[in-house]
Amino acid sequence: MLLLALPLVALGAAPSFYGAAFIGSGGAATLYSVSSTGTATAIGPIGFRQVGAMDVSSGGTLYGIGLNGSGTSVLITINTTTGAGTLVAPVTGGGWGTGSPAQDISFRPSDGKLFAYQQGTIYTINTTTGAATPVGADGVGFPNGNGIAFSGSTLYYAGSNTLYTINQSTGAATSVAALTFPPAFGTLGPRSPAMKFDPATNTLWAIVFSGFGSPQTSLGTVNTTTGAVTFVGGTQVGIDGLSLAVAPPPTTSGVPTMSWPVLAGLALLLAGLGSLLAKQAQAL
Amino acid sequence: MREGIPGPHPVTHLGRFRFVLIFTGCLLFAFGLLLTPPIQSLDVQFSRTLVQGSHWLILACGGHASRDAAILRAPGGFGVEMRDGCNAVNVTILLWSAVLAFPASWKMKAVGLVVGSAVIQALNIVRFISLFYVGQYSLTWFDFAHIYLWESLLVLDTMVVFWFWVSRVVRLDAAACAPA
Repeated sequence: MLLLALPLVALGAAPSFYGAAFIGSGGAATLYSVSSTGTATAIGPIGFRQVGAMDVSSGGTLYGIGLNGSGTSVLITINTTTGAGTLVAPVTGGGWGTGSPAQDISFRPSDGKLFAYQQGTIYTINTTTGAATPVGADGVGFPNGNGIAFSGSTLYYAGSNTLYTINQSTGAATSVAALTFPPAFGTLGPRSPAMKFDPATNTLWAIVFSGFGSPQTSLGTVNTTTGAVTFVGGTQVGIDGLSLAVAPPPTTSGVPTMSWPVLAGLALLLAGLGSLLAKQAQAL
Repeated sequence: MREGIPGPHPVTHLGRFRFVLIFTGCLLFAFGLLLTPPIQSLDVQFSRTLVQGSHWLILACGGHASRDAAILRAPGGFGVEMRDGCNAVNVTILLWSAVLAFPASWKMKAVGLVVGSAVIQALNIVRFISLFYVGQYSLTWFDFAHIYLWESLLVLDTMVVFWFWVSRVVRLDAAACAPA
């Protein structure tokens, strides 16, 4: 079985993604680079199992939730060059299923808080301690699919064949539209285990599975008004609840107060003005 | 020099020389100090505090931003980072050096140091937040505002603050010396 979790890594007209894939429940996960057409290229082993939920923080760090060697749910950071994962902390508390990974995670853009979906409940996760705090049950149970993604201040959730919004105070899900999948995705219960929103193109991207055991796996985009899912291309085959993490683009610019030549110029100006005024002051 | 036309008063030359000497000495000392590891560490912490304050101001005004150490990031991904040299400490050092070098009472110097620093730092926060928003709108305008507009404004601001402080010192001195 193969699990896939994708985070967008660059913004622009043609975004690219990272994907975490594993074969079999509890299988070792591998980080992939995934193009906007769905083509996946292996980067390297993550070193953790069943990493099915990933997202990038506003600071550009790729986070994931998976299982360690003893089957405990853990929060990790992932090196996007080598694929290697580094343990942050076990995810515990608030009724979190410590032997299960998250189905998907997403950072809230406004304050960088990490939200997670696990088996019908929405949590927030402390990215330093791994502490899980329950927001609340979504009220739709634990269907197939279960991708979540922030689009601006709205948290979307894809349950089997319905797109919902999630109340970030209570966890309650509100239906937005039925998800409609064209036949290109496959006809065996298509659903989205991973979603992420690209603000640069204003597009909600989704991984779509069809079938079980060795499901057909595709990349698509979701119309958040009508629920229509558009086929983009095939990608890594996967199974089980997966996640697709959205990308950080980070364009970060330093803003020096002033360049050294200007600073030197200001020093000369102050020296000139100061000496002139000092002379006048003494002459008074 | 022709006879009958007095040369510059030696005291005024002394005042100018004294100012330039102390100003230069303060600059060298302060920038040297700024390069030492303990002060560098404080400098980094100060930058983070400024970003924290900027973040708080944006949220208080209903804006959206996230903070990661010294980086302020917009929901769309654009971020500005307060790196070494971005926190206006260098400009503040220039002003401090000028204030310390100018002949004035220690009380007036203290006023100049505190008020001058506050004005420069307040303007720097306005600069930082404005660049955060300008950068989201256009990177071309961001470069213009960052490289030309704000550098010019900060130079002007520093000069005006110093000149204003000196005027105040001279006025108070004149008042103190005036016959009762």
